[in-house]
Amino acid sequence: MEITPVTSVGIDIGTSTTKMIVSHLLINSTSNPFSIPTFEISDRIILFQSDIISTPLLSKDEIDVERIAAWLKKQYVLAGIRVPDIKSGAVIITGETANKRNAEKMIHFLAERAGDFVVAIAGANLEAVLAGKGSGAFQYSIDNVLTVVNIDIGGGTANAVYMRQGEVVASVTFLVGGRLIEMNEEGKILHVSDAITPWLEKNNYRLQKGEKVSFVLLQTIIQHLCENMVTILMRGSFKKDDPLIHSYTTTTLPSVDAIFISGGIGALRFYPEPQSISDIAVYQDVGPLITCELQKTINNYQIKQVPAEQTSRATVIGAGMQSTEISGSTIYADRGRLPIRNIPVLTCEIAEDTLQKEKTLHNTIYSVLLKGKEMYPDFLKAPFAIHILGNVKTSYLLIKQLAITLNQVYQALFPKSDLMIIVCEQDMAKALGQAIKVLAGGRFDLICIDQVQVKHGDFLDIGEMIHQSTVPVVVKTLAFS
Amino acid sequence: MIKKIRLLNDTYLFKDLKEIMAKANEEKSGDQLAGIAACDAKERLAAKHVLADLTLADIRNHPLIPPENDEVSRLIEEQVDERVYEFISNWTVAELREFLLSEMARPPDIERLRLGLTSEMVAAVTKIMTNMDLIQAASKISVETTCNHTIGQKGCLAGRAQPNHPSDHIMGIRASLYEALAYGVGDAVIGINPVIDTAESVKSILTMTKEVIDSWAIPTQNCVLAHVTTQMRAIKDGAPADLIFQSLGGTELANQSFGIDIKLLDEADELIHTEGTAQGPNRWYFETGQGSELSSDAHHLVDQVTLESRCYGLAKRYKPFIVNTVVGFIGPEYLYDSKQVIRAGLEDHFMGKLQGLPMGVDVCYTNHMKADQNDMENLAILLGSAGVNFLIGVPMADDCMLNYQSTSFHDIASVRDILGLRPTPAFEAWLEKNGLMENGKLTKYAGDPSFFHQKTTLQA
Amino acid sequence: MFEKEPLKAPNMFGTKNKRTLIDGVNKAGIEEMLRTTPARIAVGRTGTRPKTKAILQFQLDHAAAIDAVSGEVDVSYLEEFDLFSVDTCFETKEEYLKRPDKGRKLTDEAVKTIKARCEYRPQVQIVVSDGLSASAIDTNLENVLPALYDSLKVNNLSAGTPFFVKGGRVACMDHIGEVLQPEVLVLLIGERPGLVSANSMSAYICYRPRFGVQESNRNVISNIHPGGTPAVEAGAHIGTLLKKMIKQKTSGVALAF
Repeated sequence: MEITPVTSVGIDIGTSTTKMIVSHLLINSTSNPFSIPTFEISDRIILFQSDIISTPLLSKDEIDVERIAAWLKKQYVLAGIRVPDIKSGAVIITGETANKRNAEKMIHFLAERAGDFVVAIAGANLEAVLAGKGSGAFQYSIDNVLTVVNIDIGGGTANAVYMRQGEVVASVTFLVGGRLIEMNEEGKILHVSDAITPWLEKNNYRLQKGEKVSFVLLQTIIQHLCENMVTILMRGSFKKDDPLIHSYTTTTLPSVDAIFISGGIGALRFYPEPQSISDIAVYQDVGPLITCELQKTINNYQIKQVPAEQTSRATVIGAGMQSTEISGSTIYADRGRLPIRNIPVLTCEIAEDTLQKEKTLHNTIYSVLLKGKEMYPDFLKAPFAIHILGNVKTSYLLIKQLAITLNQVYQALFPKSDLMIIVCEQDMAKALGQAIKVLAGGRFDLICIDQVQVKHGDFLDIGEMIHQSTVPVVVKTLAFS
Repeated sequence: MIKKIRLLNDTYLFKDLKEIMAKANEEKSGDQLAGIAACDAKERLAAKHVLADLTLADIRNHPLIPPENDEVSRLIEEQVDERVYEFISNWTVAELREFLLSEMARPPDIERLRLGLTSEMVAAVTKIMTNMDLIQAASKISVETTCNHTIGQKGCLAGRAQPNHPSDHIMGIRASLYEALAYGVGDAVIGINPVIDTAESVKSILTMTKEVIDSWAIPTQNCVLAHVTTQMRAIKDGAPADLIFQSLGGTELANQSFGIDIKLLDEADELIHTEGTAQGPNRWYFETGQGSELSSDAHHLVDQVTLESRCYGLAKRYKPFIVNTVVGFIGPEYLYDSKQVIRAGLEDHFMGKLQGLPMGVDVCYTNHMKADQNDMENLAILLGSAGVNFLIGVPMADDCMLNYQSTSFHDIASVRDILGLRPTPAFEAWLEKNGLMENGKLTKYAGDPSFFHQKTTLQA
Repeated sequence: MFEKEPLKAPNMFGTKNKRTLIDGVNKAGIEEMLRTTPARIAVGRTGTRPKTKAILQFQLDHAAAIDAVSGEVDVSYLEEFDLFSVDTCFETKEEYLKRPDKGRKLTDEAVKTIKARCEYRPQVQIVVSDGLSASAIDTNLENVLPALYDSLKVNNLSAGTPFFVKGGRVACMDHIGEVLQPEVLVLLIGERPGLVSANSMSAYICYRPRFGVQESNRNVISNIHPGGTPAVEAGAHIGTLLKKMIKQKTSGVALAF
C-alpha cells in the first residue's frame, strides 16, 4: 500500500544558534490480509538541512522573529517545499531564549507563515529527549539493550537524558554551556550569565565583566564545573538546590553503560586542546575549554563514550523527525474535524474496579470535566481532550458504561459544545467512539483516538486521517520557565 | 498389466494403476476424503500385492496424470535417463524394494539407479515398504548440498532455526534466533515464515538475519519464506538472500493455486544465482507436504503419497539446498492421527532421498489432530535414525505465528546426543569457538539466548 | 512527559506468569527479549531437555487447545444474544474433523429453520459458529457482538436475524448465502486453536456469498482474542468494512481501501 509521506519540519532556536531541517516520515501499512491494517512510521529521512546561523536577537533574551521569518522563508525555497506541504513538526526554543514571550511570538508567527501544523514547543526536559533521539543515543540504547545518557550542551544549558532500552527514564538540565562566560582574546570578560553566577559565588570564584581573567583560573573554573556535572551524572544523585541544576525529573539517576555528547560542545570534540586564552576565545566564549575539560573528566571514569551521530543538529533533528507519532488504526473521527491543534489534555484515571462502582466512575469523570470547564472557560472555541487512562480489561461492558457516563456528563456540563475529543491509552477508541455516537446521535461531533501516550497538562496536535485509519499526533509538553 | 488378484477367498479387480496406487497406500484420511482409499485392510493388501508384481515399465507406461495435460508430468518424464531405465524397466516393484534394502545397494548404486526412476515408481515402492524398511533404505542415502556451507554429511543432523513472530517484529524474531543459536540450531538455515508478504518486510527480515550471520560469522544461510515473487522483488531491491523459497505442489494445477509454474521458478532460479548472496551451487529451499493438492482440488484423483513424490520430481530440477516436508501441518482431514503423521514423515523422507533430494522434515501437528508432542518426539528419533538432513527448531516446539507444534531446539540437541549425531562440521567448529559446544556436547553456556545479546553489547 | 515516550516494543508479552525463565549472562537482555516475543524462549534446559515447568506448561496449553476443539459453546451466551442454533451435516466430532465438506453444508432441517425464522434478503446477515474452538465463542462473543451492533448503527446498516451454526466451516457462508440472499454476510467463527491462545476467533466477511465463491473473495479479521486484536475493536471495525463492501459492491482482494 503506497502512502504519501508526511513532510515534517524541525526548527531549533537556541541561545546562540538557530537551525532547521525538513524531513519525510514514511508511513508503512503492515497490511496482513488476515487482520485490521495497522500503520507505523517505518522510516524518517532528512530532505534538507539548513546552515547553522547565529540566533538573531533583539536583546539578550528576545528573539528577532522578523529576521527568523525571513531566514525561514529562504530555507523553504532552498528545500523546495511550500508551506501547505508541511503536515507536522516542531519548533523548539531552548536555553535562555526559552521564555513565554518568545514562545508566544513564535506561535503567533508560525501559525501564519511556517505551515499550518508546526507549533512552538519548549522545555528543557523535552529538549533533552529530542537531542537524545537526534544524537542516536535512543536507538543505540535499543539496539544494544543498554542504559545510556546523552548530554546535549549548547550555549546556555546542558541537557542530559537517560534512556534505558528505548525508554526515557530521567532527565536533568545543568547550567553548563559555552556562552555562560564570554571573553575576548586578551581574556577580558565580556559577559557572565546570571545563570552561572550562583554557582560561581558558591565556589568563591569572582569573575567581573570588564576584568581580565587568566588562562589558569579559567581552566580551574571550567574543570571544576565539568567535574561537578559529571560527578552528578555518574554518581546518580544531587541536591535539589544545587546551583548547577536548572531542572530535573528525578533526583536519583540510573547508572549508565555508555555516554553520548551532542550539541555545539559535542561538535568541538576534535578541537585541539587550548593552551592559552586566545586558543579558547575563538568564539569569544568558553566552549572549546568545556569540550576539552569535559572530555578529560569523562576519561577519568570507566565509562564507554560513543560518538554521537549528530552533534550541533541533534536537537533539531530530534524535533523535526521524532516528535510525530501515529495513533492506533481503529479510531473514530467525524468528518471535517481534523486537523486540530493545541488541544490541552485532561486525564481521567479509570480504576480497575470501575465496573463494580458505577457511581465512582460518574464522579471521577464529572470532577475531571468540571475542572476542565473551570480551567478552560473559553471551551467552545478551544475544547480539551479527555484522556482515558487505566490498565483495565477492555470489555464491551466497560466501554458501554464509559460511553453512557461520558455522554451524560458531557451534555450536562457542555450542552452547547459541538465536539468531543477523547484519547485512550488502550486499543478501544473505535468501539468507544461508536458507542458514544450511538447514544449521542448528532448532538456533537466526536474524535476518539487511541494508543497515544499523553499525560495531564500536555497539548495535542492531531493531523488528518491517513488511509481512513490512523492519525499523526504530536504530543507537546509546554514548560516555559 | 495385471490388475486382478485372488486373496483370502475374495477376488479383487482394480480398474487402473491410479486405483491400485491409491488403494495400496497405508490409511490416510486425505485419501478417504478424496474417496479413493481402500475400503478395508484386505482391499489395501490386495492392492499392495498387485502393485508389488507390476513392473517399473507398467508404471511408466500408464501415466497417472497424462504429460500432455500437466507440466509436472512432462518434467518427470523428461528427466528419466533412458539407459538406466532400460536396465531396470523389467524389475517389479517388489524387486526394487528388495534391491534397495539389500547389501548390494551401495550409495553409488543408488545414485545411479535414481536416474532411471520416475516419481511414480518411487511412490509405488514406498507403498509396499514398512516403516522400518523406509528407515533402513533411507539411512543408506546421504545427499550433500552446498549453499554457503555444506549440509547432509553422514553422521550430521542440522537444524533450521525457525524464529517466527506473530507480527514480524524484527527484535522478536532476533530474540528467538538467539535462543536457537544458543542450542546449536541454525546450521541448515535461518528461515522465517513472515506474516506480512511484502517485499519491504521480507527485505527487513533478510537484512537483520544477515547482520546477525555476519557479525557472528555464523556458517549458515538465510531465507524468508514468503511467496517466491515477493522474495524476487525484495532481492531485486537489494535484499541479502542466500536462499530462495517456494512451496511446491505435485501437479500443474496445484502449483497454479500457489501462484507458480515452471517458467516462474526458472526465472527465480536465474535471479537467485545472479543476485543471491550465497557462494555455493545450491540456492533453493522447497517445502512440500502430503495433501496440498487435494486441498486446492488439484489432485486428479491421484493419492497423496504419489502426488508428494511428484513434488520431489519437480524439486530436483532446481538442485535445491534443502527440501522440507511439512508433514502434519495441513490438518486431520489429510493426516488424522499420529500414526498417519509418522508414516507420512518416513515416506516423504525416503521418497525425497531416493530422488536425490536433501530432505528435512518438519515433524509437526496441529491442535485439531489426534497427536501430541510425544508422537513428534518419536518421529524425530525415527527420522534421526533414518539420516534426515535436518529438523525444524522452534522455541519449545510451539510456533507462535503459524499456530502449530513442531520440534524444539531441545529436541534437535537431544536427537543429536542420543544418536551420536553432530551439527554440520563448520557449524560445530563455530559453536566450539564460541564456547557453546565441546566434543559434540553442549557446554554450560548453551541454552542462554542472552549470550548473544551480551556479546553484541561488548562488540559495539 | 516521560510516560508518553513510546516503548520500542509493545510490552504485551512481558508479564506472562506462565514463563519459566533462566538466569542468563545478561538478565536485562533476557527481559528485553521476552518483551519482544510471545515465543517460549529463555526456558532453560537440563541436559538437552527442557526444565520440568516449561514442559508442564506446554502440555497444559496443549490440553486447553484440545478442550477448545472438543468443547461445546456455553448456551447462555447464545441465549444472551438471542441466537438460535442450527446444525451442519456432520455426525460426530471425528467426522467433523475429517470431512470439512460436511461442515460447509447445513442440514435440510437447518435450511428449513433459517428460512422460517430469518429475515430474507437482509442487508447484513450475522452468523456465529464454534468452528474449531468453542471457547473462542465463549471468550469473545459478548465483546465482539455488541460492538459490531454499534458499528452497524453508526454506519446506518441494518442486520437480519442472527443465528448460531454448530460445527460450521468457513464456507458454510456460501450455503447460508444461497438460502437467505444477504447483501453481506459476517461469520464469527472459532479458529483452530494454537498454544498461545486456544480462544482465538475470526470474522469472515463476504459480499453476496453463494456457492462457488473463492477464498480470495472473502475478507477476514483473524486473531481476535484478549492477547491479540481486542474483540471490541474488531467488532467496531466490521461496520466500516461492511460499508465499504456495500458501496463498492465487492469483497476480498477486489475491495479497495
